[in-house]
Parts: sequence; C-alpha cells; structure tokens
Amino acid sequence: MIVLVSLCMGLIVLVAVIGIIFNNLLFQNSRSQDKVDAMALSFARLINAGNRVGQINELEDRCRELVYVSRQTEIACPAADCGYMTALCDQLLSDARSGQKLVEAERQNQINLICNEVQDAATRYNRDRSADSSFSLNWLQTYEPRITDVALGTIKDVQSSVRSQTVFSELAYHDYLADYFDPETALYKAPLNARLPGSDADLSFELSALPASVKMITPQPRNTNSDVFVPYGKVVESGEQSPNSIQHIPNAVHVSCAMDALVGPHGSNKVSISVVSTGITSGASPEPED
Amino acid sequence: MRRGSGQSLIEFTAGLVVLVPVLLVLVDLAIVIYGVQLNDTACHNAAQAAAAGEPAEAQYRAQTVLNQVNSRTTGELVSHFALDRPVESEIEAAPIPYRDQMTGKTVNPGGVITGTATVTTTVEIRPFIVHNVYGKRLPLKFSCRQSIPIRYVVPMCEFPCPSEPLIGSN
Repeated sequence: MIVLVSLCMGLIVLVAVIGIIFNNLLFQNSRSQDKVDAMALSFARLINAGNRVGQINELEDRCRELVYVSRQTEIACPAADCGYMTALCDQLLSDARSGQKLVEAERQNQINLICNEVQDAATRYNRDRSADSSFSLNWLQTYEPRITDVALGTIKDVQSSVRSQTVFSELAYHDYLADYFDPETALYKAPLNARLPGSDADLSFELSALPASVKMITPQPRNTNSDVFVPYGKVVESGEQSPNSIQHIPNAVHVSCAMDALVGPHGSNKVSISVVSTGITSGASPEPED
Repeated sequence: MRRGSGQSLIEFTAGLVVLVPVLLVLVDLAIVIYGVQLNDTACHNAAQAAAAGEPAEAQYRAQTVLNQVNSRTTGELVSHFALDRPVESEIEAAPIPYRDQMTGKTVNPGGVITGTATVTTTVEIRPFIVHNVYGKRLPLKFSCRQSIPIRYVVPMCEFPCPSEPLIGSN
C-alpha cells in the first residue's frame, strides 16, 4: 500500500511539474509575441515618419501632371498661333522632365533611408537585448526573442494614397483605360509605374502603396495578419544586415524572431520557438484641399 | 486478515498526510501562476488601450480596462487589479499647433504621435499556504510593467480646436 501511495504521489507531482513547465513555456511565448508585436509596430512607424511616403506619392503625382500639362502646352503652342512662345514652352517642358529625375532620385533616397533606419533599429535591439535568461527555473530557461529576419513590403490590396484628378479629363481617361486606378475610390493602384501616354512614356512615375486618409482622418499604424504581407525584400537576414534590394517604397514590415529556451535538467535541450509579427505604417496625412 | 486491512489503512492514512499538503502546495502554485499570468494579460491590454488614443486620456482608458477585468474576476483568490502608478506616456514627437497668420486661428497640422505608453499594474493573490513558506502576509502582491508604442494619429484640424489654447492670443 505504501508503494502504491508513493507511486500515486510521484505521478501527480510529475504531471503537475510537466504542466507547470509547459504552461510557463506558453506564457513566455505569449510574452515574446507581445514584445515582437510592439517591435513590429515601432519599426513600421519609422517607414512613414513625417508622412514622407505620402509626400513622395503626392510629388510623383503632381510631377506627372506637370509633365503632362507642359507637353500639352508645347503641342498646342504652334497650333494656337503662339509660335513666338515655343521656346518658352520647350523650356517649361524640359524643366518638368528634369523635375521627374529629381523626384525619382529623392524616391530612391527615401527607400535607402527607410531600409537603413529599420536595419539600425533591428541591429540596436539585437545588440541591447539581454543575454541573460528572462525566466529561469531549474528545468526551464527562456531568453528574450532575437531578431532573425526583417522584411519590408506591402499589405495585399492596399492602394496608393493619391487620387486620379478629373481636371485633366484626357489624362484621367487614359489612366482609366490603362487600369491605373480603382474607379470606385479613384485611388491609383500600387505599386504602379504610371507612365504617361505619348512622348513622355520614357519617364517613370512610381506610386507606392500607402493607406489613404479618409475624411481627414489618417489611418493609425497597427499590427496585422502576416498572411496578407507581400514582401519586397529583406533588410535583415539571419540576424545580419543584408544589402538593400528593394525597388518600391514599403508600407509594412514583417519581423521574424526566435525565442530560445533551454528545457530539461541543467538546460540539456535547446529549442528555438519562432515568433513573427507584421506591422503596417500610418497612412498618408490629408492634404489641406482634401 | 483484519491485521492486514488495518495495516493498509494506517499506510493509506500516512500517505495522505504527505499527499494532501503536496497537493495543496501544487494547487497554490497553480493559483499564483494563474494570477501572475492574468495580471500580465491585464497589463498588456491596459497598455494597448493607453497607447491607442489621445495620450492625455491614457490613464482613463487603462483604468477602464482594469475595471472591466475586476468586474469579471469573482472570488478572492485573484483580485484587485490596479494601476500601480500613473500611466507614463513618453512622447518623442507630436504635431505642433500653430497660429495661421491669414485667419488668426489655431491650426493643428495633424500627424502621428511617436513615443511609448508604459503601464504598471498590480494584482492581489491569496493562496492557501504558500505565503507561509515565504513568511509573508496575505495578500501577496505581484506587479507587471509593459510598454507599447503609441499609435495615435492626431486628426488634422483647420479650425479652432476647442481643446487647444490659441497661441499668441491675448
């Protein structure tokens, strides 16, 4: 009888200890998820800091319209018996086309800035992360999550933050036929190279995906489902900064982390639990005339 | 035969004398772990709420979340979730209202507020016997602290904002 009672006692204690270990592992995993969610949100916030992505989209759109109008003026100038102004029209068109190069250079600059800022933030986190166990029992030690991969990209079906203007009806009709914008919202699709018709088709006007403001309200940065994330490229791979290969301005970030845990007596078994999170940046700020 | 059953009874009773306290300690540990985890979740939810809106009202939102948690927890084992200290909203950057020279009205340009909201919560746990081991009085108090990035976007306001003082006005 004494053996039977001892066996029962041992069994109950064993089951309880295993239960406590497993429960703590899940609890630590949940805490790591919260931490990675907050990290993804703070990285995402960097992307559209100061509404820079929204401003680049506006610049691209307005530069496109300027080139279009300048071209129309240049074509109309001789025909409208204003031949003496041809030189001025040519100069305006040339200036507008030069403006596109400036905007494109700034767009590339912003892509590099965003990538560098996210890389720096990820590297800083990994460097400052505590190497000591965040939770320690004799049979379970868990560590703070470490960043393994950071990818920048967009969220599925997010359009650009700029609307097609009906003031240039021919351009709007061209964009409609080219399926550049959504007829319901008039928002340009993204990522999109909205090339102009005719002689200016050699210029590229890259519009980036960014949630548009609705009734003067800017969408907040938030965490979202990782399944709808569309990657443009990785900026951190296996914990190391990777060369920038991103062609479009991103609006979301996907963070992959690993939470290390030592399980068993004296930490004999090491396991890494994957924790991922996706954050989307704040939307475009409304323009005063919106 | 009677001697054998008497021996079994004594062994069983002796076993229970050891088993019951062990079981009680395990139940107590489970209550403490449950309470700590519940406090962690409550703290996280309160921090999320604090970070999700106007920083000036963060305390109110966090307290509302804890009130809801308190209203759901019945019994005395795990109770009295409370803010240990006021919500700490550390703002790094925020849009600055300015006075429009043309209209003379205050305009808030709107935009993202960057910073973190930090919430510290406590919970009271009343285990059966574990507190005696540590020589502490009931209730045992556990605290949790969590920081969440603020994700509030100040709406653009082109008209005088009621909550904003007029800069430069007499």
